[in-house]
Amino acid sequence: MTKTKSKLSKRQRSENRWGWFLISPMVIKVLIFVVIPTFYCLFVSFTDYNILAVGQKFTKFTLDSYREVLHSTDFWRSMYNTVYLMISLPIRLILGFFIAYLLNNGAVRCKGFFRVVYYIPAVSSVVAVALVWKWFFNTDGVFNEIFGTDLAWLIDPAVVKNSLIIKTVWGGFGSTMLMYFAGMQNISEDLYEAADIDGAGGFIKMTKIALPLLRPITLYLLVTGISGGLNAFADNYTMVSGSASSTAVFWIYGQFIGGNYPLVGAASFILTLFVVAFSIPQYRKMVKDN
Amino acid sequence: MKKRDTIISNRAIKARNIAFGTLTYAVLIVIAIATVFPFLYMFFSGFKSSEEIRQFSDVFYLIPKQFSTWGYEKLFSFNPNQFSFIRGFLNTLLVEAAFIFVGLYVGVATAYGFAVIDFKGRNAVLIACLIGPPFVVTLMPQYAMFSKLGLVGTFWPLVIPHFFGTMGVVFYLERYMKSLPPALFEAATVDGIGHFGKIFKIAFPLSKPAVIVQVVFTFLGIWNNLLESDIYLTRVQDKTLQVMLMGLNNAVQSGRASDQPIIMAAATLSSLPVLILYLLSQKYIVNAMAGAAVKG
Repeated sequence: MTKTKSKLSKRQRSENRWGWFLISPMVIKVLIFVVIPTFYCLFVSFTDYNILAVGQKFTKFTLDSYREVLHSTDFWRSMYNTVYLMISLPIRLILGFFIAYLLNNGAVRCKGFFRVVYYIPAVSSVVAVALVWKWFFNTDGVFNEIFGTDLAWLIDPAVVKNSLIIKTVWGGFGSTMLMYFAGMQNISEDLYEAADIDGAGGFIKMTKIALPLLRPITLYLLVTGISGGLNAFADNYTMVSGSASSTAVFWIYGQFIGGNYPLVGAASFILTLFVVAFSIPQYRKMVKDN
Repeated sequence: MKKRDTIISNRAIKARNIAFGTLTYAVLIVIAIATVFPFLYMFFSGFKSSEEIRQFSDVFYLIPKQFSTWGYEKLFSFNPNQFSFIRGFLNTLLVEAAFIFVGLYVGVATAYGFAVIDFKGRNAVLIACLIGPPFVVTLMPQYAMFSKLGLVGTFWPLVIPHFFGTMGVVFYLERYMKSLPPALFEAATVDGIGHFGKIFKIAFPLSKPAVIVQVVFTFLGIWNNLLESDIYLTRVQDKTLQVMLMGLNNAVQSGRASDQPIIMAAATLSSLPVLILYLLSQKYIVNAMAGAAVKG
């Protein structure tokens, strides 16, 4: 009896060793590239430490950079822009849902073709695509020619954020559509037939059957969309030269390039608080799943 | 309900369905065109000549009146210290190689470790790895680290993280491998096959759909990486293709519309590799994306 027990635990010990051995690259990576940097960033944010200056040590602990960020109108404007640009999220959800619903109609053929096409923007070269859109938005570019407008799409501070929203919707509706479509495939035909017998029209079926049943997907898209939106950066980086649409991350990036490291640290953590707050449902699901 | 009523209502439903079907197709096709329109524009504009653009600068049209390779010729005779498609492409491939030849296999082994081996501390580590701060938090410290190691200006800061496997590969494959029947691995254990045998003879081949998805997405992520490529690669000729493309745009487009074909030619060339990759793997990619929310 005791023999089998020790044999089992020996096997378990070997499994423990193998497990840790195999996951060690990821553990090391997370320690070196995430955990230590996070604490380092936190540390720098409370100092006046210029991390790159040779031979310089920090002189004091201070809350100055937090004070500076919290009092910076530029930072809060960039936070406002970040939230404003997230208007694209509900548009993407509605458009994706609507298209998925149309596509889910049993009579539509070439479903596969449409799904592949709608997802192309999400899997293309970012800068190449940005350059084309930049040209669309140019003052003597395509949009002004087609619509007969005279807008400075990417320059006018009152317009630029809306222009970026248009581009984001174009690039992002494909993935929401794919997910809603997959969810709709799981909805039983019987429900729609029952609604038909009750004389319900397409709109009623869409809003009273599909929408409530797909709530988990909507929730998932909202949570991932918000945390993605809080990290928004690339469109400003590739397309816009002014600061009128600057997002929080883009503002922080600017401070980083400018060498204002304690400020980068403080602003990063203030942004992190928001990301964490909106990611709580995701964390909870993750803990539950594991 | 009487039988006749049913027939009539069926007929009405059928007529309504046909009208609805036509409208559905119209909407779907219009949206499909709007989706690919920027790519069509990119492709065709690359074949316009500078002359043609100057001449018709006020009107919009898509297809060149006369196909010209002017943009491509200009592109390949560009000052290579400012833009070189070949250089940029090879620079990007260098980083991709670190993933394809090292990171992928390390990632597969790690995923197996998490998914198949039941060891103490597994769940805690898994969750700790998944909860990461936004990327701006680690940007500055990582830069400081590579700077102090004297590696800024080299490819190492871009390549080294891939030696440890990537989050995407590990945690996507972890979920996939968990869904493989455990009996397979138990049988292999009985046959005396070790863990490495089980990883590369059982788990890896059986996870093929998931591996393809992650190879494509990781390839795309590296292809589209802007920030790290920009801050760590300091010399213009070392930049990855996408960053070089931004530089080309700044160098060429001093507001002159007539130089647009050069940029669009470069954009087209830099889009082709990932577009082809997507079209080849679309079956797996589309299904994987679709499943993301359903499975959670």
